[in-house]
Amino acid sequence: MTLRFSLPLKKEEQKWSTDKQAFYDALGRAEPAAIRALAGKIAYDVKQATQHAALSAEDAEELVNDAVMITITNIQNQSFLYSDFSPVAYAKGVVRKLVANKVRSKKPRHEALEDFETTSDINPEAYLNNKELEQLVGKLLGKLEENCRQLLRLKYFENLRDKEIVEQNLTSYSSTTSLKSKRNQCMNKLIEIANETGLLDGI
Amino acid sequence: MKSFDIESYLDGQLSDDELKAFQQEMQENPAFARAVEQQRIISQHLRNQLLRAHVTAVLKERPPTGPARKWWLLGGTLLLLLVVFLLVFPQTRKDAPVPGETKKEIQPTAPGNLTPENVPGNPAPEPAPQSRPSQPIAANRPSGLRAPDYPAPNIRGQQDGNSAWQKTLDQLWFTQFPPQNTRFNAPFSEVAQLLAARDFPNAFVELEILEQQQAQNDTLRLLKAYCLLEMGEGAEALRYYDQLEGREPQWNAYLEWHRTLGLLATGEPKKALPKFRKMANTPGHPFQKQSLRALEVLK
Repeated sequence: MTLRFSLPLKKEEQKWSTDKQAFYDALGRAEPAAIRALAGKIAYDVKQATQHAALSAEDAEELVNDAVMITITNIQNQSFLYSDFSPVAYAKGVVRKLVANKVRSKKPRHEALEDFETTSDINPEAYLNNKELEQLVGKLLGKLEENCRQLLRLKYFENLRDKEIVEQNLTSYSSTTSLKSKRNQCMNKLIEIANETGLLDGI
Repeated sequence: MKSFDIESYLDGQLSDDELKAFQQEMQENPAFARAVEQQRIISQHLRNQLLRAHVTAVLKERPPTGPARKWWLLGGTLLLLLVVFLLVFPQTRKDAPVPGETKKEIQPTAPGNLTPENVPGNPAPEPAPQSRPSQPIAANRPSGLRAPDYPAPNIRGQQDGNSAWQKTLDQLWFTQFPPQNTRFNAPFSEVAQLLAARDFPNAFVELEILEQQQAQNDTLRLLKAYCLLEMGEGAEALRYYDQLEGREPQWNAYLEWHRTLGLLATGEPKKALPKFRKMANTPGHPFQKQSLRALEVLK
C-alpha cells in the first residue's frame, strides 16, 4: 500500500458520495483523505452514543480511531466485503459494538444490550486485547535502529515488494537478497526484544 | 543444516516442494514451529500497529469542521487585521527619515560569484540579531517586500569566512511556520509551539524523541525538515523535504519554496535560481513575491 494524496478532501468526498466502491477501495489503501472522511461521517453517531452512555470525550476520540481502524483492517483482510454494507454503515455498526463493550465493562452484565447484525464478525474484547499487544510491539519497534524501522515499515505498512523497494531506491540496499537478509535480522531482533519483555510468553 | 525462509512461508510465497519441506520441519522440530508462530504473531501485531499509528496521526491532523471552522476563520481574520494594523501604522511613524542616518547597503554580487565560497569574506562578521528591526517597504522593487523578519541561520561550515553570503541569505530568508491552514495537534503541538517560538535547539531535541517513539510520518518529516532548515542544516533538511515530495498537494508550494531555501543553505544558488524563477513566474504562487525578492537579491 503506497500512500496516496491525490485530491483535496472536498472533491474526494464528492466523488465518494456517488462512488462508494471507490471510497471502500480508498479505505483499503488507508488513504488519509478517506480516513478523515470516514471519521467525519461517524463522528455524529459516536457523539450521540457516547453521550447516551455517559462516556468521556477521550472515549469518543478513541472510539472513532478504533472504528476506523477496525473498518480498514477488515477491508484489508476481506472479512468486510463491499457487497455486504457501505463502509460508513459498517463503521457505525463497529461504533455501536465498541460502545456496548465499554458500557458492559462499566455496568452489570445482565443489562440488555442491542443486537448488531451488521458487524457480527467483530469481537471488541479480542480487538482491545490485541490493541494492547500491538501498541507494545509499536514501542519495541522504537528500540530498533532507524534503518530497521524503515525496512519493516516498507514491508508491513507500505506493503511494497522487495523488487519495488530496490528499484525505487527507497533504502541503501541494491539487491533484494541483501534487503531481505537485513530485514530478517531486524525482525529477529524485534522478536528477541519481545521475548525479553515476556510479550511472547506461552507461545 | 537447511535454512527455511519463514517470511516467505508467512507471505504464502513458497513453492509446493518448499512448502512440504517447511511443514515437515515444523512437525519434526517444535522449536522451529515456535519460531514460526512467534514471527507470525509479531508481524501481524506490527502490521496493525503501523496502521493504527497512521490512522491516529491522520485523525490528529483533522482540520476543524463545522462551527469550529467558523470560529477559526473569524479568529484568523481578526488576527490578520491586527497584524496589518501593527505593521502598517508603526511603520509610517518609525520610517520617517532621520537626519544624518545612512542605510547600510549589501554590495551586489556578480552572477558568476554566487557560490558562498566565491563571495569575498568580511573581516568583521556581525553577530546575528535575534530579530530584525523594522524596515521600510521596498517600493521600487518588483516584489514590494521588505526584508525578512528573521535572519538566515548560520549555515553549516560557513560561520566565519563568509558573512557576505550570510547577509545575502538574510535578505531573502522568508520562512513560514506553521504552513498556511495547518494545525498541529498532539503529539506534535508542543514541538510546533517551540518551532513557532523559534526555539530550534529544543524543538530539535523534542523531534528526536518523537522520532524514537513513533513511526515516521509526514507531519514529523515536515517539522524536522523545517527545524533543520532553520538550524542551517540544508542538506539534512532537503533529505526530509525530498521524502515529502508529492505526498500532500496542499503543501506543494510550501515545500517548493523551503526546498529552494534548502538549496541555498547547501551553497547551491545556481540550482536554486531556476526554481526561484519558476515560482516568480507562476501567477498566484503563494511565494511569488518572495521569489521575486530572492531574484532581486541574487541578481
